[in-house]
Amino acid sequence: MPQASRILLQLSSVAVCFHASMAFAQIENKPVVIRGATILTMAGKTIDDGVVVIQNGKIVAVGKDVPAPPNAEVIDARGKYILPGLVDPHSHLGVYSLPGLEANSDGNEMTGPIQSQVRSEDAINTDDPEIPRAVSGGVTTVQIVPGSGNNIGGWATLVKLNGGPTVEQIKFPEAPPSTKWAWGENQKRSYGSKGQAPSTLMGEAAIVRQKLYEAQNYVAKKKAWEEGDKKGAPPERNLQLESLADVLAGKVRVNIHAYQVNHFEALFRIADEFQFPIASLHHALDAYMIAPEIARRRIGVVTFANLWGYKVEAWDAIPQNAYLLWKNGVTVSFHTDNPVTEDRYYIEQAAFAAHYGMPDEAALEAVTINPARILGVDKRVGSIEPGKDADFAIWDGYPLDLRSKVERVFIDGKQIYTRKDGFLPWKGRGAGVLLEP
Amino acid sequence: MIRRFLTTLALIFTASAWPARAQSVIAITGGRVLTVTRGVIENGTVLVESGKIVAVGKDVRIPAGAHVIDARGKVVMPGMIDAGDQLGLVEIPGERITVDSTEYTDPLQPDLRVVDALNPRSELIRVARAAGITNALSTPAEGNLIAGQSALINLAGETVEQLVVKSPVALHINLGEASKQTYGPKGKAPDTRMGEMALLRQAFLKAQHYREEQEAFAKRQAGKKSPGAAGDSEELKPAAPPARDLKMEALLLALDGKLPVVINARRASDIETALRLTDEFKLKLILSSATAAWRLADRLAARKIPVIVGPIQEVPARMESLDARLDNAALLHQAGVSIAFQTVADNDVRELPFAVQYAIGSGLPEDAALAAVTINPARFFGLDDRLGSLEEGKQANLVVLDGMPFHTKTHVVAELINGKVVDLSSHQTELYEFYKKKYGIQ
Repeated sequence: MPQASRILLQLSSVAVCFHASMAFAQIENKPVVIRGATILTMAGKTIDDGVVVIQNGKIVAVGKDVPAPPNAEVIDARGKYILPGLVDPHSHLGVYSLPGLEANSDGNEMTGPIQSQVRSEDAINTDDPEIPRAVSGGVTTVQIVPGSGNNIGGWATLVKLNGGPTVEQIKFPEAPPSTKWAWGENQKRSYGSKGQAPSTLMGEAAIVRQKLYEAQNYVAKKKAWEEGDKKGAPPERNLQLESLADVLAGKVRVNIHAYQVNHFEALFRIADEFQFPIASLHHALDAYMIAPEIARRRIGVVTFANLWGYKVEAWDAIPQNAYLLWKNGVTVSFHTDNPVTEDRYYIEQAAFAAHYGMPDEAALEAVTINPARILGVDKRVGSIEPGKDADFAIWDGYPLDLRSKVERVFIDGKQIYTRKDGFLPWKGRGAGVLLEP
Repeated sequence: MIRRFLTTLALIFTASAWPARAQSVIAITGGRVLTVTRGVIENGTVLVESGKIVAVGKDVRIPAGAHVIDARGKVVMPGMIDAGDQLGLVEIPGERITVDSTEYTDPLQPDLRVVDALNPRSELIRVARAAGITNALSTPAEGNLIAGQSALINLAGETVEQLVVKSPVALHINLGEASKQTYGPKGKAPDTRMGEMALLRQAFLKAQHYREEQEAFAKRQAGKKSPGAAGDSEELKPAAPPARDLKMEALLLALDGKLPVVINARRASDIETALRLTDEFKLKLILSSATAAWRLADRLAARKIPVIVGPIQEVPARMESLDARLDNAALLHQAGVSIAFQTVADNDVRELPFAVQYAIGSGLPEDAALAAVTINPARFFGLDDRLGSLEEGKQANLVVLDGMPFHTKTHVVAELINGKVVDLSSHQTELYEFYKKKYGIQ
C-alpha cells in the first residue's frame, strides 16, 4: 500500500473513532438486551431462545442464560432470528449508484488495462439509494470493488452501511488493504474491440507480467537509492507501480475476478512467479473443477449461487459450485456484484445454494463469517460472539425462507434500520427510491 | 456440419416417436393436488392420457398398464407459466451471434414473429423447466417501439412445432426509455416519449388506412362482378390489388382485437400513455413490467386491465423504475387487479419460484401467487382452456414437488409436459454428477 494511502488509513481510523463517539453518544453506553430469538451465531452453534447483550458498539454476551445488566434496554425478539450482518465481499455499491445513469458510472477507469493506482474510495457515492435497500436486506458490510473492465481494476474499499455522509465515516476501520484484478472475456472485449491490447488471454498475461517486472524494477531502483545513502534526487514516485510493489511485498489482499480453469492457472503461474499471495478468486464459476487445488493454495472463493451462462466463460456454472468447494475445504463466500444482482437480495444467494444441496449452516456462513475471513476482518464481524462488533439483523422468520423480512438492523451497536421506520440515519431526507415496508 | 446432420436425424427419429409416447397413460397418485381452479384435493390422483388430463379427483380408477407416479407426501400442481421471457431466442447473452431477441433495425417491427427464431434445443429451456416451469411467453426483447409477436411455448419439444402452444399470442409494444435509447443516439426517431407516441399513432393510423384501401378494392371488385353494374371501360380493366404489407397486417390483428397488445410501461405516466393509446385505437391491453402500476391500481382494477408484473425483484436502476417495490403485486391484487408474473430473463428463468417468495413475503396471498404463475397468464393469453389448472381436458403440463411451492427447500421431483415425463437433467446436472463422483460425495 502506498505511503500516502497508509497515512490516510491512519487518519481515517482517527476520523472513525471521532465519528463513532459522536454517533454513539445517543445510546449513552446503555446496554441493550435482545432476548428470545433463535441466534444463528455463525460461530459453530445455533442458540434457541437465546440472549444477546450489546454495549459500546460491541457484543458483550451471547447465550441461553445470560443475565440482563441493570438499566439495559430490552428488546423482545421471541419467535425471531438473529443473524450477523451480511458481508458482501464484491459489490459496486456507490461506484455504480442507482439509478444506472452515465453520471453514476464510476466503477471502471476504461483508459487502460492496468489501473492499480485508482481507488474506489475516490468514487464512492455515500448517497447511493442502494445503501438503505441493502440494509433492509440485512447487509451491513460491503467491499466496494472497482469494476472488471481492467486486468488490474484498482484499490477496493471496505465499508459499513451505517448511513454516514462521508466516505471516511463509512470506511471499515483498519481493514486490510485490498485490490481488485480481473481476468477473462471482459478485458479482451473492451480493449480488443478498440484494436488495443489485450485482445487475448495471452495478451492479458503478458501485460500484467510486464507491469509486475516494472514494479520490481521500481522497487530495486528505490532500494538502490536508499542503500546508496540517498544521494541525489529520489526516484520519481509512480502510483501505479507503487501499488503493485505493495502487492509484490505481500501487503495487499489480491481479489481476482476470473471464471475458467485456464484463467485460474494463468493467475497461479503469475502469483508463483512473482511470489505474492492471491486472497480470493471472484465469480470463479468453474472453481469447483479444481476445488482441491484451490484448497491446497488456501485461496478463498467468492461466487454466485445462481447466475450462469451469460458469457461463454460462465457457461459451465453449476449452482453447486459453492457446495463442492466447501466440501473440499475451501473458504467460500457468495457476493452480489451489486448492481448485477442487488445487495438487498444477498441472502437469496444462500437460499439458492441451500436449495441445491448446500447445508444451511454452510450457506449462511458463506454470506457472513466466510466473507469476513476472506476480507481479513473476521475478528470484527461475521458472527455473533462476545467482543465482536454489534453488527446484526433481527429477522421475522428463518432467513433462508425468502418470505422473511428484516425487522431491525444494528451496526456498531446502533439501531440503524427498523421495518417500520426504514433507514434511520436518513429518516426524513428520502432515499431517491422507495423503500417499502 | 456433422453435428447438424446428426441433429436432423434426431429430429426425424423423435418426431415419429413423439405420438407413441404421448399416448401412454400416466397416473400421478396420492398427492396433494393443487388444482388452482377447483381447490386442493388431498390424496388425489391425476390421470393423464394422450397428452391430456382425463381425470382429477380422489377416486379415480387407474387403468391397467398405466405408468404410475407415486406422489404420496408430495404436491401436484400445474406447471408454472413465465408470462414474459426470451427463452428459445437467446443462448449466450454475451455472444451476439446467439441472440435472436433483438432486431434493432427499425423501431416499428409488428411483423416480427418469435416463432421464426425459436430454438427448441436451447440448453436454457432445459434449465428453466427443471425448476417447475413448463411454459413461457417468449417475447422479443425491449428496444423497439413495436417489438413483434410473441409465442407461448412448452419447455419441451424436439421441433418448433412441438414447442409452440400458440403463436402469435400478442403484439408487443415498449414505451419509455428502451426504445428511445436504441434509436435516439443514432439520430433516428424515436428520441423522446413524444416521438414514441407520434410514431405509434401514425403506425396505427396507417394500418387503418391500409384496411380502408383493401376494403375499397374488395368493394370495387365485388361491384364489377355483379351483372349489369355500370362502369366505363377503364374500370373494367383488371385492377391490381393494393400491395400487401406485413407490418400493416400485423397491426390490423391488434386493431381488430384478434391479438391483445402487451405494453411494457414502467413509469406511472407511461402507464397512462398506454391507456391513452389503448383508448384511441380500441386495443385489448395487457400491461407489462408495470413498475408503478401500484400507483394506478384502482384505475387498472376498474378497467379490468390484466397486469404482468416483473421482474419481481426489479432494481430501480432506470429513471423509469424508481417506483419499483416488492409489494407491487400485493397492492395490485388487493385492489382487484388480475396479475401474472414474468422473469424477463433468458438464462435466469429458473429463479421465478424464488422471486415469488419475495412477492408473498410482501403481502401477496399464497393462492394469489399460485394463480399468478398458472391460470392467470393462461387467461391473459387466451389459453385457459388448455393450460393453467389441473382439470379434465387440459393439456397435461404439471409438476410433482416434494413440498409446497415457493419454498426454498421445495424441489421438482417429476414433471410432465404435453402428457409426457420430461427429462430434468441438463449440462449443469451432468457436470455436477461428474464432479460429485470425482470428489466421492454421496
